[in-house]
Amino acid sequence: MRGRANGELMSKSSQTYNKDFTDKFDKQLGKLGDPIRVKRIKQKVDEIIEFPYRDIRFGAGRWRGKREERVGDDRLMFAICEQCRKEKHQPYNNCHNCENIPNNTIRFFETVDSHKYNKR
Amino acid sequence: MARTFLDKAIDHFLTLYLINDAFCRWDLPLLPNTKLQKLVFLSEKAMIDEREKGFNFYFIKLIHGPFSQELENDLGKLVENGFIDDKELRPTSNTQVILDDFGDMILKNPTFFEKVNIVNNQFAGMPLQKLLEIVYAMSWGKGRTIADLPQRTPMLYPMKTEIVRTGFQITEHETESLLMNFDPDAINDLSEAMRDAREGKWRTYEQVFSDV
Repeated sequence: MRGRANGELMSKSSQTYNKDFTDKFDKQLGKLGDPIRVKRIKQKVDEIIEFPYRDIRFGAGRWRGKREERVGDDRLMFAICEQCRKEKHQPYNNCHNCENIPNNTIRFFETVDSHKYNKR
Repeated sequence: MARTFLDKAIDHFLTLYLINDAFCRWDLPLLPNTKLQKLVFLSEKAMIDEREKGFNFYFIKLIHGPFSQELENDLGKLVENGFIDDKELRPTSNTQVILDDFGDMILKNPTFFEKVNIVNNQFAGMPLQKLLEIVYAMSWGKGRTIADLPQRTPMLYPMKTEIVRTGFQITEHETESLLMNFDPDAINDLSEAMRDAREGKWRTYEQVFSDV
């Protein structure tokens, strides 16, 4: 699958990042009804915010242009604005008012529950 | 033996590859459903003949020869999810993206895709009637042809794992990613998230995790 680590960006971790979440992301967390799962997602979000350039994997197909990280069966789909611009992923993410969003922003789009897909 | 999630992911991907290759190879104006059924049948048979587990569709003999209801159902889903055009079965840009993003799977599994290429090269550009005649005349069992088989005779079905010589190489992550792309619910959720991003509907960390 496309999208692996970009060496040049791997080492960055000291910068402070802004973060925001779509309404959809918020609603999805609300629907989980599982405080432990939500807490684990929060911990993963915190990890991503602290070290956004480790374990780089991009989504594929419809999820092209979005980074993904797993926590249990949940996949968090997000983008780092500076990386999105560098990789020319803006057409895939298509954020409102993109040009005015600082590079040091991480945008969390949604979670995907892949539990139903992993029964081989 | 029912198709597994893994079988379905591979079937979807191979079907998209076959359709795309047929259009690219022959500049077809359209791909009739009946012709597609025969092309998949011939590809699956070529794989099974060499005990390669690629396509996993059940085929039975029907009035126009080998037919798979599962393939028919899968085509409906591929249309619904915007991978192929409803009338011509022409692949859309979504199919190109899938074939591009999952291109490693093609490189890792050349024998399966080569069989599809060979079938398409030989049969996809052929008039449907001629293709049907060739399929009807194929031998099937002792001294019989496909034309001789009674209606609803089972013809192909997923191979049991113990007799498989070559399996399709695919990781769990690739399987899940493919199934996400073929899941209308997942695509709908993504569309809603993208609409929020497009319309600038964002929430803060504190709003999202206020209760945690």
